[in-house]
Amino acid sequence: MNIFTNSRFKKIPFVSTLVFLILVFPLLYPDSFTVTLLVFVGIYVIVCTGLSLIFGFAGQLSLTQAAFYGIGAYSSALMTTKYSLPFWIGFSSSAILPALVAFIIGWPILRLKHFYLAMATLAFSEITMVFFIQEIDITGGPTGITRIPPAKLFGIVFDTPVKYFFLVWILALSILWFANNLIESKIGRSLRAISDNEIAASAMGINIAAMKTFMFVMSAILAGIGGSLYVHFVSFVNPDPFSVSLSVLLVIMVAVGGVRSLWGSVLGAIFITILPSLLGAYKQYSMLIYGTILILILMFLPDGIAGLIVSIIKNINLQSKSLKE
Amino acid sequence: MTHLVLDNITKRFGGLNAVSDLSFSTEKNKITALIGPNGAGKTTTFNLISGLLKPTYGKVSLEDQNLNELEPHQICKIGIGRSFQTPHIFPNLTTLENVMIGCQLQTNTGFLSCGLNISSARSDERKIIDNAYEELKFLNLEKYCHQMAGTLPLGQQRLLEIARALATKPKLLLLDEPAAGLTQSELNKLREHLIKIKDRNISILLVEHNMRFVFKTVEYIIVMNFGKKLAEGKPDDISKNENVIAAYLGQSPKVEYASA
Repeated sequence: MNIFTNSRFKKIPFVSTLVFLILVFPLLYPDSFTVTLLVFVGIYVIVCTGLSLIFGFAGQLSLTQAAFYGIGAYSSALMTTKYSLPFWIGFSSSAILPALVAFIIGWPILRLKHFYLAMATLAFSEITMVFFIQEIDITGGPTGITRIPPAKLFGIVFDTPVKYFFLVWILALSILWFANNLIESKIGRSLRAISDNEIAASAMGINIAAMKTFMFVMSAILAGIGGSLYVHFVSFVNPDPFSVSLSVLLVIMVAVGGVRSLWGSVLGAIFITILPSLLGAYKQYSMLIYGTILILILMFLPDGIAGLIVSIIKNINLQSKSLKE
Repeated sequence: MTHLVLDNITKRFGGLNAVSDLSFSTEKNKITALIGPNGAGKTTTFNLISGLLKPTYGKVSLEDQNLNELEPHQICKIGIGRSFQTPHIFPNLTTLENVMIGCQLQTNTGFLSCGLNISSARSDERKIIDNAYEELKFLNLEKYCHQMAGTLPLGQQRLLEIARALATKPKLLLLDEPAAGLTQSELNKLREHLIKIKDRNISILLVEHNMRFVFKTVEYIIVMNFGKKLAEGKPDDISKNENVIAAYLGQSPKVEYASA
């Protein structure tokens, strides 16, 4: 009797079709506005995957993802402008610096639980924001840093939205694959155990403090990478995008998409990025609409859009099974 | 041969001594019971051994290794597995996954190999699944293996906790009221399981209120009252010990006879 059917293999046709569709989209429909929008979706997918690891799987509400996104953005911008270093160094620094910062603040603040952790991460976001605005010598203050060169790797300059689309989405899909492997491994299981019952998890030999810190660092790295991709695409950076409201928006993306699924972060990123452009003239009400959607999702679909899709597929499977019988 | 040693343990909560000056040791490959009236400090003692609480004074050691400075997860690695008074299972994990959490302590794949899903990570995962399934079979839980642990009945949840603790390959198993709320047939099964566990060279220390079960099952008894050790000895000696009878009846039998 084989009780251990590996669900991973069942997903392969579905996932590869999806990946294929994503990657051929800009070739079939090279509209600059749409592709630009999809570049942003890709960047948010990376950032949201990080948040999903710490918030969705480890159950730690972090409101500081935008700060790490900003730290990554500024470090990459500074490396490539002030120090005229190549893109890959800026990009690496956008992963290393947030990781270091997350490690240093993670040890003390991850001892806090629930709302206290949310408050501490909120405070850190504010501190970072003040730093971006006030440290004019480093960050350029409110005007920020301009003329950031486009990304350049292996002699290819990613200067059009379509080229950039491939850079962002190949990275995003690799990261999704990596993160999916992580959560399906013993690490993901430990995370779920921690969010279920911390006392039991520690009695089972799981080093909770180390696990949480590790996931916090991972989420910071992904946010930082997203920041670097962002600044090399828009070619300037100022403190505006990295405020706490972006952190909240990212939490909404993950919650709307589905906290306990990586696909949730993809769906959430698509939904939240595309919604404002669909709203058109009513754009200024977008926050109101996000809030309403979040409340409705939390009340009626606690597992988000991804959870809804999973339960629909299960229902269809059940019905087709009962039809066969 | 002594195994677990508690040396003059005191635990103070504010002004209250939950455990005071408690010393005892258990022997290897034996089933020992820690009994006492409610509030005697039995669960506190368990928490002190498994590292959830740190003693105010005194020293806990297993096979001459000092446990005082260690975190719960390190104590688990040294070889103390435990269950809780109210089952602390992982409700949103399946029964099998619950036990896998215990099994994965034996593997040391790093996070990069997990993330890149290289073959060593996959074979480790396979090993974890196989070991977990073996542990479930050992306690006859295998038919629940894909069921969410939170949906199991209480008796099975208690067994699952034991299976999960066994999966960490402990030298000593701490069981906090394993028999509470079980029916007579479940009690008989539990006794069989405990003896099977002992046969795997795992020592057991259990807290229990079901006296009939304790006196039938265990080889050595330590009695606590008001945070202190009242008596210790073989079941036959304990059942005759006047202090123990007095503690359970609330009054010295002699005084009762005298006033009657």
